[in-house]
Amino acid sequence: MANVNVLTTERLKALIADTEGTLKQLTIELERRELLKQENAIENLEEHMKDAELSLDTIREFLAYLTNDLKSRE
Amino acid sequence: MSELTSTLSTHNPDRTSNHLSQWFFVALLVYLLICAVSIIGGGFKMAAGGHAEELFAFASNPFAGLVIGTVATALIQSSSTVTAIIVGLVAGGLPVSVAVPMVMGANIGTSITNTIVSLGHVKAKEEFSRAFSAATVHDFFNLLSVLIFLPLEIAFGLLEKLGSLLAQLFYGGSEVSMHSFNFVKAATSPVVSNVKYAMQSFGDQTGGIILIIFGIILIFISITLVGKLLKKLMVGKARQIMHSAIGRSPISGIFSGTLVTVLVQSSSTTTSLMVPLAGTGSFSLKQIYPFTLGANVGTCITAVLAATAVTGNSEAALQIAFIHLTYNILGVLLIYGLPFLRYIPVQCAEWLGRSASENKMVALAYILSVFFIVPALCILVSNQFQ
Repeated sequence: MANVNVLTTERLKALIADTEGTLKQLTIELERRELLKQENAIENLEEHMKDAELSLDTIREFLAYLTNDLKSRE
Repeated sequence: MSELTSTLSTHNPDRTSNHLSQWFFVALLVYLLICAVSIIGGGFKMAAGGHAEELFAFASNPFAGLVIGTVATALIQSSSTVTAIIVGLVAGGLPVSVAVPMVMGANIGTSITNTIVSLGHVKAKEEFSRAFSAATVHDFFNLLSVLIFLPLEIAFGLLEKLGSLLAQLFYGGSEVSMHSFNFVKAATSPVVSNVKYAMQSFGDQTGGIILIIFGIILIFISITLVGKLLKKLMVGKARQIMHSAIGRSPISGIFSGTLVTVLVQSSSTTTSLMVPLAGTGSFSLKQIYPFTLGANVGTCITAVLAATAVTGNSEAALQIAFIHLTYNILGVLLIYGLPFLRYIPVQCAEWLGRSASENKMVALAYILSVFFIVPALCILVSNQFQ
């Protein structure tokens, strides 16, 4: 906003109020989306429970990944 | 049509009877768990023959006790199993002062499960960073808790005194004490007495050792099966609790974590569940942190439940179960209650998550050091000073 110094004080105040309103709306929308994302994640709790199960495959795959990672660095 | 299908499925008599039989099985497993704790107590008393204190002299060093609790839990992957075994051993004569650091160690050891679960996210850098942080925030909280409470325990016996006060409320001199209305103990004692009687033919020492091994296996099986069944039965309720906590205060998160853990009878399940939720980015580390703290409190219910009906030195058994409970509650109150301590575990976990995502060897080195190498060094060093 290059021509800000030519704006009247009233216009500036109006712009600030308008921007603050927009910012508030955007924040509310962002929070709503985050909550929705969380609600959806919890809806799929069964899936997450499966992901959260401990298995030896996890360790095996991690070690294999680590070995490949080290080899690729060399 | 879909409404009709769901109505039919909810009223399906086969499903209802299946649910009922699963609940019956849960009750049976809890009964076996309580019996198993008493069996361990009885076996230990038989085998030790009044020399329990001498037998566990090697663990009289608090660091050794802490390491035993940590490594045993890390290997068994269940703090409930380890604390239930400790309760049984205390009922059989293990001094409470020796058992306190073991219980603290169980808290540290249990957090290896969710750390290993987080390794599953290794292929995506950002996701791994979030998942590893979500897992290790539990470790850092438990380590900080030990750093605060172990010196207080060594210096003043703080937790031992608190546990004793709480146990006295149930076993104190009042006329209406636990002895007068303990129907659980009445229900379990025939099984416990018969098992003990059957093993007496092997002699005190061999019979006692067989009883201890049998009790440990029984605890392990019952806790594992109860966990699996409750996970299936309680997933709906857990979802409901978690839904109600979304967007609310951290205190609500702590309560939800406690409740979900009580329902599924496993802190590892609750804390491991947080790993994919944080890994996908649905929840931030600060949002899942209170939930993780609640899991520490909720997991104590198993040992308290088992201790209420244990035979032998039952007051001491209840004391150690209450020590576990008060230790976890005080840990949450102190660390989360004091603003300057509150986010230390979060900051450490965030830093470690970032470092581990940059260099995956950091993750491996961290797990091996915290759960195995440092405990082994602690034992070596403490033995040098004994």
